Amino acid sequence: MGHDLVAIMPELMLIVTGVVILMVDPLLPPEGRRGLSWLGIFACLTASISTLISSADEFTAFNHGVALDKYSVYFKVLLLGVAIIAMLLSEKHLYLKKRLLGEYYALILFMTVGLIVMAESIDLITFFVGLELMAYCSYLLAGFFRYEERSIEASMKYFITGAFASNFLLFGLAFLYGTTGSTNYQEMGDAIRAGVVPSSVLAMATIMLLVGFGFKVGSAPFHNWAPDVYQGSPTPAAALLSVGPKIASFAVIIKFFNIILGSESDTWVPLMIALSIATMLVGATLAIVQRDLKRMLAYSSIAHVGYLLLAVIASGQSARTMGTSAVLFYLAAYAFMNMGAFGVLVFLENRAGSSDSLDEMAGLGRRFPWAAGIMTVFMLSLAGIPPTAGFLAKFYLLASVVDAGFAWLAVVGVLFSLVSAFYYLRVIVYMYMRDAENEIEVTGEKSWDLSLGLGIAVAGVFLLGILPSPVLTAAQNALEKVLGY
Amino acid sequence: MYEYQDQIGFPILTVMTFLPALAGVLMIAFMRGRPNWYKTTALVTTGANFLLTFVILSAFDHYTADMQFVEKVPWIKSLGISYHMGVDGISVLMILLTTLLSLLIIPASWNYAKDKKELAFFAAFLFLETGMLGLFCARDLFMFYVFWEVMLIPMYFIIGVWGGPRRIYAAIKFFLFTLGGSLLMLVAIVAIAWLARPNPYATPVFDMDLLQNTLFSWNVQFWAFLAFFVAFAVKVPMWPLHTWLPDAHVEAPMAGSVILAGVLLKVGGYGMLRICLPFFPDVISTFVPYIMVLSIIAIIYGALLSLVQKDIKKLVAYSSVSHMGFVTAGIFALNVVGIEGGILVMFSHGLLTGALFLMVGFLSERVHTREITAMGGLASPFPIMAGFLLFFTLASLGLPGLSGFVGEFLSLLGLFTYNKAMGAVAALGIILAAAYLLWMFQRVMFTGLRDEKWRKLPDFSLREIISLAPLGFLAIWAGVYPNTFIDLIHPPVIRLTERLAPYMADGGSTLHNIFASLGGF
Amino acid sequence: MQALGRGLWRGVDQLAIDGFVNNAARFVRGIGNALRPSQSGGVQSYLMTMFLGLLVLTISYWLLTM
Repeated sequence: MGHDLVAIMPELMLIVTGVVILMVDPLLPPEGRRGLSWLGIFACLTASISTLISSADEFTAFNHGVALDKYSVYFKVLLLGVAIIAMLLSEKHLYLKKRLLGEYYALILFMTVGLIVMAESIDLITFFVGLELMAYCSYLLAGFFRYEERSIEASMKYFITGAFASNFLLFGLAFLYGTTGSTNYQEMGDAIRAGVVPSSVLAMATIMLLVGFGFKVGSAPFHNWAPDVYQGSPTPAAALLSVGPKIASFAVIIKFFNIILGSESDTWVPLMIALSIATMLVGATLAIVQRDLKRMLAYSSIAHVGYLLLAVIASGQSARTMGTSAVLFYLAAYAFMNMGAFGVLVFLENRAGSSDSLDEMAGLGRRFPWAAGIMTVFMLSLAGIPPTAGFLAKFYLLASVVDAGFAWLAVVGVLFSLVSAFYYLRVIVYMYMRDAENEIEVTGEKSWDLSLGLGIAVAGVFLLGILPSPVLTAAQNALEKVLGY
Repeated sequence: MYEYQDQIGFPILTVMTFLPALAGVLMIAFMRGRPNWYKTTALVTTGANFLLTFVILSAFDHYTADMQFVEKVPWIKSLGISYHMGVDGISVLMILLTTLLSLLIIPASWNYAKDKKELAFFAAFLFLETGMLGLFCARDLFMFYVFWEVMLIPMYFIIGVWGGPRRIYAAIKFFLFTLGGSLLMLVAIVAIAWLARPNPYATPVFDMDLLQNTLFSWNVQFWAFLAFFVAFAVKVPMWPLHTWLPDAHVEAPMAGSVILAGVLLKVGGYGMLRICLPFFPDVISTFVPYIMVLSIIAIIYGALLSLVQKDIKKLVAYSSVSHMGFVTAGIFALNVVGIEGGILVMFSHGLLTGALFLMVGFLSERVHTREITAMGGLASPFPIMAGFLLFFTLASLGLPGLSGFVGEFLSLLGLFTYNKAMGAVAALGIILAAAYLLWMFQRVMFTGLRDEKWRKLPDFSLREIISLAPLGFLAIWAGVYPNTFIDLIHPPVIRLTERLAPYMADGGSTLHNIFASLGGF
Repeated sequence: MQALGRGLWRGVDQLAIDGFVNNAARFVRGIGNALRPSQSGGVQSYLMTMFLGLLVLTISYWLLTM
């Protein structure tokens, strides 16, 4: 028992802190609440330090429910970092919108717990617990601005589509449990390899899983919720929602499709190829016709999911290690650049009232030079231009796809990259090459938290782009225990 | 051959490459609102780089084809990527061109961007210089790609922010055209780096020295060559991938056009020499006929279209397309004469077209138009300018004694040995060049003075003359005594052709002997 | 000679090459606009799309393994 608790020490820290925040929050005057985010950040920092310190030990806990190995360390640190940035971005924004409540940070902490549990789980039950915890927190975060119609709408849509998709996921999981007799990934995988499961059941289950996971990450044709949800949610929450669930979901996807369904790659690889191409197509082409920035970023996220799926495909074929480490590295790069982009939007909403449309970007280079400069970095990174993290991630991903023997897919991916460069460039065009039509009032106060958050994001983008070795090696080593074969 | 040669004892290539970027960052951070500070910084930095080029030249070993001033440090070990720099004669010639032009645009544009984000203007050119130099020094294929892409960003801003009315269209067109080619190249890079591994457990190979000697299967060579070639062809630019150039030139600010025509157009040819020829020898002969045809089309097409342009910048743009046809024709003739001719055309074109765009810039600052029909009789108020324009016009059309002639002659010779008919057609291009250039000169400088107001405008200032003089000086040097430059590039070209000997159109040695007997090689 | 140059310019450069490039851009934008209606804003259609996606996957799997 003690052993199990030690295993989830970081999660416990987050939970305790979240509960403390909830309890303390009503007692504080409105001004005092501003310190709560730092409580949450402190908890996350402590949790990540504790994770790193104990990273040498590798064991399983909760009756083989969760695995503590390099893989879970990588994801834990990444997710905790994401949570920290999310909290840094939010504080001033919530204050300005008069919704500064402790619950927000508690929700983020609980959601992070859910994400971490998802990433480290090796059993269906623990996975599902983590999933649901994360999901409900995310629905609440999306609807946090409950006096705004769009926020409520976003939350409802997220909830309804999420519940619908979860059904399919459960169906698929039930099939697999029923036929393999176990909920442990490894045991299920062994059973499948032994031929215990009839192929039609296997196929059905795989498809159900693709639907469920496809929804969670925002892959076409299960993506429709994303633009509405990202647009309606509070912008800092959208930042977290666009990054966190994807990270955890891909952590699970890799394990699922390599451990459990590893021997069935002939089934799921073609299906995933179709999904990937559809996703890149939808993401890239619809982003071009968007004039609302949050929606554009939503479709851009969808396109990036398309690329990530390519790497998963690669991992299913011969490039097992490279494909999966490409996914891990890409997720880290994506976290920094996407949160950064949303973060700049938060900044604009704080200082200039709103940041919805592309037209409002006009002349940003003049009014807010630093913000425009940082946004340029994020746009270039999302487009995959060196020397940014986005480039290196895309490079490594393409390498894994080519190494797996899918050179033609790499060319397709690269073509969509070219298309997507256009809408990232367009933002830069508006910022620097067009002049603002009317002078927008610069209001609001500076937020040091926000600046810190953005600074971390920019640093991450450049560091991962120029000195990627530490993270890259971590990603490559993460798979030691996970992919035995 | 894989030997380290570091003659100087300090990483001169790294210093030279990153000095401009460092200066740019310092300018942005500390020199806002202080024009004299940042302009002087830009001048000093580019000047220092230019001097460093001479340091390199003085320590340069003219007799070896090996890479010199080599610096190699592992960068991303798990992927086999190193920070690897080195130069040979060809790179050094390009570096000379780059540092010279980067220097000259500073005084030329001293007051150009006065009202509009001047600091960023100069900083952008500094970052661009870093990108270009990094490309010419890169000996690791990953680094090559990174610098290739990095060059795009400042140029995109230069066109898009400080350009003409259709600058956004031109900038995006430039960016996406180039990016399209580059992304194809990326897939090829990844493919060959991973395929070049000695065994499946080794790290991929990005070292260009090693890749040169790797044997790839015919299929791989075919597709990789094609991918790289398309990427380079966009930058050359070869017909039919050239349409971004006229728009980019017309809309770019003066200094932007100078660097675009002077250096950026050379990276395509450089890439072909560095990668297409050495890495994929088996498939070259398959492609050569098509490349030759496209080159000839470029020569004639470019010239014909120049003839009908009303905008003087577009005229020069299409003439660049035509000149670069000589480059590709020379290079893919695969003999010493042709390749050296191609490289010399690259160098000469950089000097001359750079000068032409500078003059067009100076001219349009005075008369506020680029339409040839709106100009006329400018020789009388501006005799000095007329003189310079005449000089560079004659050089451009290939007057013997000036740099244009040597390059074009040699590459034509190379083309002749490949196919006499094509050589004849290409020679037509030279005649057409004379036509459109002289006609342009006549219309601009002679015929009636269109606007009396112009009589009062000042002729060339000292600053403007200084920006042009070095280019003229080198043009004369390269025309009268080209050996200096040919000796520089000879060893690497010889090594290239020796490797390609089994595939060459003609032994090349015959012509080599002819030249040796004519004295000069 | 001039007429030839002008004809080539208009015919090839402007019509054929640039036309191709600019139309490619319009084509991509067209796909985007064509796909737009799928994003209707109504949850019901989203659920329907997901379900249809499931059906398509299932049917194509069966067709592929027949």
